[in-house]
Amino acid sequence: MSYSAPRDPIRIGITAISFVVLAAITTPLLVTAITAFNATTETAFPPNGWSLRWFENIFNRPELIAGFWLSLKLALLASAITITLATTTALIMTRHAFPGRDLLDAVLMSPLIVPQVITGLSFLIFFVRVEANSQFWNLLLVHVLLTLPYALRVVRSSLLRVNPKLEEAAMGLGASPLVSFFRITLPQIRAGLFVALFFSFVVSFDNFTATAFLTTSGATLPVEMFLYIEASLDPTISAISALMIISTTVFVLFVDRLVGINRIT
Amino acid sequence: MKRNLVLAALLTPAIALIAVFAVALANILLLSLVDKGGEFSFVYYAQFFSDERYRNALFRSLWIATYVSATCAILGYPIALLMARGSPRLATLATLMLATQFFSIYVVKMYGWMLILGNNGIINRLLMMSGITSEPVPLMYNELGVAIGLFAAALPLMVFPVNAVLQNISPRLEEAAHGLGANRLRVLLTVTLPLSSPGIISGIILSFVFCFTAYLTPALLGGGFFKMIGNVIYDQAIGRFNYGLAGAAAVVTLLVSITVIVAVNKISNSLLGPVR
Amino acid sequence: MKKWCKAVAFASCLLFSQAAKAETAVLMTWGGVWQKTFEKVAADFQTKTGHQITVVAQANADAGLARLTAARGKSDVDLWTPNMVNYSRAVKANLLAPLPGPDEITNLKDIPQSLRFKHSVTAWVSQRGILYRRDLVPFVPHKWSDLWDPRLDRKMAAPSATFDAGLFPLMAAVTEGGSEKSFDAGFNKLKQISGRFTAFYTSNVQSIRMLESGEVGLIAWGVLPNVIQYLGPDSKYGFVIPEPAFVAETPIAIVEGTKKAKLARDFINYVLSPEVQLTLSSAFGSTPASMKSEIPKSLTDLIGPIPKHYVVDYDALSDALPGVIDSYEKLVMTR
Repeated sequence: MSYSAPRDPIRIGITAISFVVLAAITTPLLVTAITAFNATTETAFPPNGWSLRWFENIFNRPELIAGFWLSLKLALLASAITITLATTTALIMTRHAFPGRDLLDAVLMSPLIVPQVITGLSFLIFFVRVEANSQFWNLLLVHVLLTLPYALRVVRSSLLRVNPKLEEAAMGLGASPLVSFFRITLPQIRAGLFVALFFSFVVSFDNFTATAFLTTSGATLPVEMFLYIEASLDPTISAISALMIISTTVFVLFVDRLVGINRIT
Repeated sequence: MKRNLVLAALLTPAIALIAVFAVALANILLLSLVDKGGEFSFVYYAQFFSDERYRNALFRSLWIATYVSATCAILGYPIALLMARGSPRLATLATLMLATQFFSIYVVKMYGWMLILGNNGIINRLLMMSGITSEPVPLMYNELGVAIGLFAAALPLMVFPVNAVLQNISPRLEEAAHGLGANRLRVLLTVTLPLSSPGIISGIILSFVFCFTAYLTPALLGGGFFKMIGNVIYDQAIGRFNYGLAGAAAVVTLLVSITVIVAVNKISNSLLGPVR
Repeated sequence: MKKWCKAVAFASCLLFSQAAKAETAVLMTWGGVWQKTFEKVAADFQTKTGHQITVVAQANADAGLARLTAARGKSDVDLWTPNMVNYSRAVKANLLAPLPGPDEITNLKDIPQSLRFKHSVTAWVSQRGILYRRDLVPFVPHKWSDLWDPRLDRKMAAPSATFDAGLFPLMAAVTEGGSEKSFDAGFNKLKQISGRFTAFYTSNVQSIRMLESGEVGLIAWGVLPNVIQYLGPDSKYGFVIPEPAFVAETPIAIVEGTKKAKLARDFINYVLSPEVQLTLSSAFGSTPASMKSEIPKSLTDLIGPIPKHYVVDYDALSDALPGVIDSYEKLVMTR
């Protein structure tokens, strides 16, 4: 909209609608974060008194700390694997029309559309049958599976905006397909790749339903948080949420300094 | 020939992963087609379609997913525009708000909504204190509460893909159109919107499917009154150990979702030209 | 983890004369007050014997059963506390090991025969009742039929269909003259008042949250162990156990295929000992299973004398359960 005057009604309208909606969807987070400061064991809003005790309590619950580390490890590894798979697959699918491509697309989207309860249940039974006992690798497999559709979708629509003739030109000038990919195509889809990576990380970290089936002891953070909420009234989970909001904000601001946040989302 | 081999090799890991998934699912499919006596039978499908609870859950899931994802598209597009084209400060602020929301744990998001929407929640307390209403307005434990919760959770799934596409559309195209005499609205509708359509399609598919198969939001915000297909599957599988019926419901859900995705792809192909 | 390792090493040194290698077994029970209490019991057990019991949480007994079913024969869980209905299902699915007799678990002799079963023994007896907020209810309930009072319109929440394995519909049936074999009268009444429920809860904490936030003034079916910590003379919460009381005998069982059978037996024996029975009773507000233990006075001070309870035919209930759940969903959980 750099071509339009700052005060034109459309720009104002778009800005207004956007912030009203954004404010509406972020309010629950704010409210939850404030309940973390309750002095009593109730998750009340407005808080009954002010205290930091629930932040301290996070560290008294080893399952929450262990959950955090497990979620972090899983998310990092899963998103790295997914982005690689998504890029190679998306490249082939957007550049070559082969019979059954639409079907393949639908099939690759399937982890998204199969309800997570069924994904979780299926894999639980499957892993027991094939005697795959490592919880970490089992979860990793399922997390890669669950994040792949998001990444694929985003990378594909990014690749659609890239003109393949540029690559052909590079190859015509003597570059190998690999070099022309890295030098020509990759920079153009960088925004899409970052979105895909970001998405995959969050989807893995945040995953609840499917993961819940596969964790026997020592679950991921979301599952542990859910179990905690279902078992205790106190706002320890609000405290974790408040911390996450702060760290997300810091992280996003930091990346904005480095790269310019708008380029990568 | 060698080239085809290379291409096939590159596709293999993704296909292998899906194959493993297919095997696990096939097991569930099998469970849905074998009755208690071990014989092949459609009894669970008959049960599913003949029970109004399950039919209703399926239809209301389709319905709510449709209007929530449509709302996401309508309200999410301006946000994506702001992020991609707005002034740097505002764009960063918008991105920050959306990213924070997206990054928060799902369970916590929903509990936050319960504090706001309940009969004794913030909205109702404000309404009653200011005298606008004398009784609490039921914003939760019904379809409205579930729709609000789903909208909030699905919105980032719409905005991020659209933004990613918009980032790659050169603003010069819009400037050029404007320079040729189109006013801003016209540029938006005839240049920006069509060019960003792959992102919109992605966003619609992701948010639709998310809403359609949601489980936590209807469980927490529906109060038991608004069960969706995800709840049916969970209740049957975990609550009743009725893997046959749960499997049948899952297979039906899967078929419906695939149909919607294929339909959306085909419509977008015919409207916008084939996907390259 | 380091703390446990040090404790085990220390205890092993102390007990090395017993020449016993420190072992670990896993107990699966509910989260919250149950898990926390058993963690304390396990810590005491470890001090005494040097063996460790790890306590893991199940979201509910159904989920616990699902976990055991999926990992059949290779489960990492050795001990389990379900509800009676899931116990019954687990037995039918051959997931539990038969419980040894009093020669191997000596404290069994203090448990009345009615609380001993082939594959488990009752570890505590948990009370059900009506939980309410004194400041939000129009009147203080005393009878189960008080739930049918029109003054409670839009002020109460009821359990969901799968909550507490059919006991709530059973209470309605019994209150209206029915039984485990005849639920119709109960369902007619529940259907009649179904519009008065604000919401249905699937967990205890969910129900308490609704009360705490003021969404409702009364919880139609409350589980005492979850709420006992909130009760007291100055508390805004009240808990009443109308007659006939409905109780949940909570069994503890050994999982089939466990490799820690002896440790499991020893822990069960410990749980049935008078001191631990008293610990559980005080923490859960439950009545002890052991005849050697008394109901703590702190409990009767809090909620008054506990009335006679209705003896549930769990086999009949278990058979009727799928139908009961379906009827509840169709007739009661609709608007």
